[in-house]
Amino acid sequence: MNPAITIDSFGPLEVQRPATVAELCSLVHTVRGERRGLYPVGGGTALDYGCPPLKPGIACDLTALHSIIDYPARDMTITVQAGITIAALQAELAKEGQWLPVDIPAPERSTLGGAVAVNACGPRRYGYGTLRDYVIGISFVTDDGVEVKAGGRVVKNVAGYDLMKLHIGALGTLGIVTQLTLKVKPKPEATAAVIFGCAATALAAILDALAATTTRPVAVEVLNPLAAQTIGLTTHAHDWTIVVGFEEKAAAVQWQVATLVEELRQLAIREVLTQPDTAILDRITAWQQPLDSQRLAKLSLRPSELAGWLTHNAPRGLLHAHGLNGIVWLHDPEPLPQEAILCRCPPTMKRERFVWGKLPASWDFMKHLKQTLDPDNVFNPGRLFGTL
Amino acid sequence: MNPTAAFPTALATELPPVTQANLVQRMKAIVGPDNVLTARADLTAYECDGFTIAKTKPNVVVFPTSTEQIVAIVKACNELDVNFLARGAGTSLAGGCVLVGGGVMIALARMKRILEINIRDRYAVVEPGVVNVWLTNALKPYGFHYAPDPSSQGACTIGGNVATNSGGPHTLKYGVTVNHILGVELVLPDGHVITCGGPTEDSPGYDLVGTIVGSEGTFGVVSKVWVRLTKNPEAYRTLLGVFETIDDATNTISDIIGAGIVPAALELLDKTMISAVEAAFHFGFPLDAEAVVIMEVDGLAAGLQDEADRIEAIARKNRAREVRKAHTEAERMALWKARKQAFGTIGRLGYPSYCTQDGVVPRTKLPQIMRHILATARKYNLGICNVFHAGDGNVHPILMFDERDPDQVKRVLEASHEILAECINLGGSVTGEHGIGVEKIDFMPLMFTPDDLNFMIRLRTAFNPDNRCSPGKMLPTAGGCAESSLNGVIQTKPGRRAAV
Repeated sequence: MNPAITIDSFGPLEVQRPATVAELCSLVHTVRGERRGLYPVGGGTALDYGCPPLKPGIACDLTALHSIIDYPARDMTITVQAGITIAALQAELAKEGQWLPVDIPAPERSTLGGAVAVNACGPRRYGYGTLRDYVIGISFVTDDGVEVKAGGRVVKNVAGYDLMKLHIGALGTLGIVTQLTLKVKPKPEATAAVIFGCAATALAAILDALAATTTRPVAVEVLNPLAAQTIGLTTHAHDWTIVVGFEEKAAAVQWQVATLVEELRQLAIREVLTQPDTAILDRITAWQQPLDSQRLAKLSLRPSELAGWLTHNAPRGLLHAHGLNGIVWLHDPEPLPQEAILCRCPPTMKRERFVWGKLPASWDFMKHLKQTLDPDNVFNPGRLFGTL
Repeated sequence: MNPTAAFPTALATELPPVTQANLVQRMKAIVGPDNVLTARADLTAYECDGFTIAKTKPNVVVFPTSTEQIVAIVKACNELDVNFLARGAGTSLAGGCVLVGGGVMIALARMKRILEINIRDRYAVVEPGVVNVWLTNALKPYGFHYAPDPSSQGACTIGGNVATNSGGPHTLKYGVTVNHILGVELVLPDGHVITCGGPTEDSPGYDLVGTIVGSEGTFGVVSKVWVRLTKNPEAYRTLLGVFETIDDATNTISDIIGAGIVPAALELLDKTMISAVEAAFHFGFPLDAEAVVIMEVDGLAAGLQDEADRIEAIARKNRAREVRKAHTEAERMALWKARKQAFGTIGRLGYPSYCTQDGVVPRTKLPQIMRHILATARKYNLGICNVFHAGDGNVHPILMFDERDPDQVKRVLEASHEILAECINLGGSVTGEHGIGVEKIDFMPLMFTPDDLNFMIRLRTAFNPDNRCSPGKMLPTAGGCAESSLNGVIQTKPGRRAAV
């Protein structure tokens, strides 16, 4: 018997763990018939992401649906059930020298379906993009309790609507994703990180220079002193620490490290650490699963606005940013920026503040879309829209 | 199945004279008399696109110059109960620009401004009528480009690219249109305007941008687009492999991908295509080779030559007769000109018309599908040539015929059907980049179950509840589109040329 769980103090919710898609379909049928809600659960690493649940229901543990369906490695695609953990997926791909180059925290526990629901990503998004650039096929169970599909198993395909994009970041509110086909990449031959400190007054110029560098970084991270110290870097005496990652052919990585060091010298940055791998990017990704911080917030800015914001508005607390994407992660920020998404916080806080911060212009249309595709509000009710 | 019966032909819905007059008057009031076409001869130019087998004249063509005008047009269409469709340059090869049943054609050619270029934040904002290559040309001074480069990029518009999620030769490494669209402004079919996405990343909620891209105009009229800008590669290595057999060429492609190399492009031209291109451009292609493959890697100069050498070795292992290299940028551009303008040279092969197919198979299945394509052309006694995005497994068999001969048209459609059915059979798709349009609606039930299609219809309903916008596209309806078609295909002039 599975133990019950609570989400944002809502519950306890009875847990069901369907062993087959057919069982899942029948569960959706039952839950809809009883006018209750179905709360999908993967590895349980991001359950406090979103608004609190709205109505009683069942927590649906999807980890039993974790098979690898098809892996034609020479086509560089893989089809898996959505309950597979990221670590298991990457281990399978590694056998063929391939990987999914998207940073997903807690890979041993996180499931691919969960990563899709929250659109997980990290430092490497600058070089590789996000899950929307890799998911080429999808199957999911609709509110009618049937499994439907879109896309396919080929890398280029425009037959039918792109329901893959519809589910990425949808927080499981439009159906339960059961199967995904991914485009994957060959693992880079070599990797390296270049790390250096910089003064607050130089940050804007440094980020401008990195945006215009002749090298092609896969990640540019900006860390405040607390973040640098936490990750064990000696650069924490500086106002900011910059981490630049390269992943490419060996000759290209070597050239890029040398070239960037020279470009930095032109900017009067002379103390530069280099590391022969990019493991530091994985350690930064892991911060999205903070064990100590009560509140984790994420702020999206235009990349060109980042340096100014960091210089003038950065709150107290551990902070790091995807420097050329304009995304700032804030741990226990004081004060909490109004526009930031509150990715996790004590449930009581969610009563006082809508977690999404600044809403997109098309928010009302998104609600309309949810009402059209899930009129009885079966899937993760409340968790995206609060009232819906 | 009788494939020819499925397509809409010349007869548009005749509107009652009062409605027609009222419609024209309303449109002229919105956009001015100079931006409205109503003469029969003028409407003929808008009856079809690059897929010349399906034709319907619109009742009126309007050329808005602003989002506000699009909104007013759409609202008037709702009041008068008339359908409408947005059109870019009309280069669709699947009948995406055919206004099934007639109505108002919203031609976006006069919304052609590049509104903003922001290199630091790597985006540009454009109106939908901006021609694809204009943007890349405007970006040249900055060392950036707009990555999706369909072969029709000299004519096709960004708005049209968004509608069809266009590809092109360089999608192999850089992805398709949707990977480069950051935001859209969409006029919904009821006249409301929504702005989705934009220059900042990770806004909460649904990825409406990703859902709208590729919806073939069935979700509304895209009136503004935020696109991602890509830094130009520092260097290129462009090789031309010459092969005695198609199998050797396709095996080379499969081996390159299998070796973990991600080239920028892998494009195959077969013997017939080579002869046409050679006649037009005198590029120096070997006329006796069964296939040539353009193989390009790009990126940083460091390590690039090693990669090119690995590709050359793979080609030679697969019995390439010769591997040529573009030594200068001029040589490289000449090679790409030959590739991108290949479609324009098909006329030299002596057929008045051609139909370009657009199937996809897993890349390792290329040898099988090519054998099937050639056998099918022989079986139906049709001229055939091939030029396609081999690295993506995206085949473009070009069936050549005379569209004045109904029997040939029938054979073309039957051969197309067989080829696409085999693509599905091999685990692929019936369209990689051209779209379903009206051409491939009948294939949708072969790829998708009734439940799949029903969910897609529900999604469309959220945007386009009355199906007033771009009706008769992508999704089959109960009774099919046969209700708006005639048996057989009307005789017309030779097909227009368009490229992929």
